[in-house]
Amino acid sequence: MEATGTQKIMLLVLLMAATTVLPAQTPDTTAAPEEDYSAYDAVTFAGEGTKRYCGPKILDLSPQKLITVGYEYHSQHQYQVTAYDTYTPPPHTINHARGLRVAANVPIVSKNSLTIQLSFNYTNTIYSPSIVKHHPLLAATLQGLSSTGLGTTVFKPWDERHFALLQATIEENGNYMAPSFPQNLAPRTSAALLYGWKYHDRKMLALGLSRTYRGGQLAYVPVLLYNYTAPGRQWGLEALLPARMHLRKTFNARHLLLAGYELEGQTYTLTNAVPNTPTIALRRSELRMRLHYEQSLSGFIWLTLQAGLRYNVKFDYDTLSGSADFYRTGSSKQPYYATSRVTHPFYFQVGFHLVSP
Amino acid sequence: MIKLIFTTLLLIAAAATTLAQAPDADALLGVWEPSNGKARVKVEKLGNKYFGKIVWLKEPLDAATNLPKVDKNNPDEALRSTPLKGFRLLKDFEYTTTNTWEEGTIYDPENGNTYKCIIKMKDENTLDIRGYIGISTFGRTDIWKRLVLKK
Amino acid sequence: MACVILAATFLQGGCKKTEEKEWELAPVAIIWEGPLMEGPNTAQVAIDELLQPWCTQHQCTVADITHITPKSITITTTDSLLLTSCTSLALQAVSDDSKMLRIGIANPLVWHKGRATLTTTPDADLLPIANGNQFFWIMDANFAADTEATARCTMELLLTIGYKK
Repeated sequence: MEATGTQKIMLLVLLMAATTVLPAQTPDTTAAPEEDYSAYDAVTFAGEGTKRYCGPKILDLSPQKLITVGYEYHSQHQYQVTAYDTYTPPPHTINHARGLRVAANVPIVSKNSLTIQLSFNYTNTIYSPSIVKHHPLLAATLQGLSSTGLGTTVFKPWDERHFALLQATIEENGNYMAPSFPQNLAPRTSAALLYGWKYHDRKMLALGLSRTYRGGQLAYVPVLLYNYTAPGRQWGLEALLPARMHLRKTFNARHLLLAGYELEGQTYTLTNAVPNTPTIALRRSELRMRLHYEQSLSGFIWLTLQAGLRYNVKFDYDTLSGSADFYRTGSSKQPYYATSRVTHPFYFQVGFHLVSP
Repeated sequence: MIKLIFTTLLLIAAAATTLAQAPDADALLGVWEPSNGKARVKVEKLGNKYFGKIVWLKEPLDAATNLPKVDKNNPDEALRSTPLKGFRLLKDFEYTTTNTWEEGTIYDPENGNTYKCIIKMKDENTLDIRGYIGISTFGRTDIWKRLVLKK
Repeated sequence: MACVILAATFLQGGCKKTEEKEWELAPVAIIWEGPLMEGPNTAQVAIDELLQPWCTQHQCTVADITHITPKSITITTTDSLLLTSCTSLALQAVSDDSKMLRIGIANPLVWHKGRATLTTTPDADLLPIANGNQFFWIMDANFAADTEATARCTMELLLTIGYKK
């Protein structure tokens, strides 16, 4: 039905009304209204103010790695296994060893009041030569060692100064090579809980307790976290004692050099090590004294180069009842199934990383 | 008659929707303070996009030089003398959905890094600013609060 | 027949050479309206349909343009406020379809008989910004002190435009 004259006028009026409420679309060809910058000294929150929290980083801290792919190479070294049953095999020369390191740290919750990360890591060591005859213990070891783990890190600040830090990992370590993961491999758990203080943007300190395998076997040790950047922002210190400590030289926001050490260790379950013998566990620990260089290649893609000496602290063997581990105290009477002396090779490591904002 | 009523209702709905969209987009305008309280950022509209520049610094002078802070960590050497006061660290934001501004970036003068960024308005005085690299998972959210000038 | 047309099109496209020309834009008036306060102040100027008139004059299409880079940016003024109180200038461009682009900066700002030159960002390509219907020049001026006055200047921009001919 066609609209009447009155209806048409009504429609036109409505159309005009709709047009006037639409914002004018004229481009701005003049100066924007000027602001009083000095007035921003005297401001107040429009609504409720925000509670301030301290962050997990200090200025110029080496960037956290979100994704890591690395390769390392160890020079020639020797193994001398002793106290192995009644037979002491001759020293065995490893021409070289190499390894792959893959890790991922995924932020699950990342806000001012709470940070939770989940992590995955895989590292392996491949020996050359890997075949050893008439030496079943070393043969089982030199098949190659791998460590696969999942972990979490929780950073909880209470205010601008106080915070708590929790790290926990569960790993399966043994003489296997990915992607072949053995079944029934006993997981090893590590954890650290710290309480800390962030004094200012350049210094933070935390104290706590950890359950760790860095010494090669299960141990409970106190830990100290200390991150510091000097006022000139050229030098700094990054420490998580007793696990690691580095002196840091910051060239600029994209190049830095670290010098120090890290204690790495694990307990590896060796499958098919020695016939008719309970589970054999390798207690491995090494002190890596090194120079470590980091550089941004492009944006958040970083390169790390590391070189140093791998000082072997422990390379001993225990028998385990089943897969359960035990805590070797000072009064523990259980002797080692076998002990080893390992010489100390030089090593280098190269890695590519996606770093955290 | 029914056609006319229907058309009228459509026009009213269209006008109401348009009215609702424009003020929401400009709700981002104003002065905001990040959670660390070290700076205050004024969001302004340039062209048809939203930008935020530093208008106040808690520590305006560089401790090493005793001069006004500049963008000394910028990856482009030519830009390292740019004063931080007045520096645009929020750039190119577009109003995409309700209370959300996207397609922009946020710059961190502390390390010279630029991150993709999403701004969400939780309420008229609170922003969630999430800077990330690649995907939103690899990022961090900061809460910014609106400021007003004291009378 | 289709093959002949296809071949001709290919040959035409394949034989186009890239040339570069200098392009002096019309002077742009920039005004910072007072009161102006100590610190950064922003002026913006909208520019419509920049490329099409040039393309018409040079008998090419917008699609033939390969790049537009700044060659020189000159600011002229007789404004005593700008000459005495402005400590730095920075020129940017922004459009709906492209990220904000820094074109040039002068920090510190040095005047010589009412003229100052901004250092251009050599790899700033204005083509994505100028390609749309409209874009904006954004000029940031840092003033040393508060003032009630309005500041004015004229910007002369010399560009290098590359196009297929």
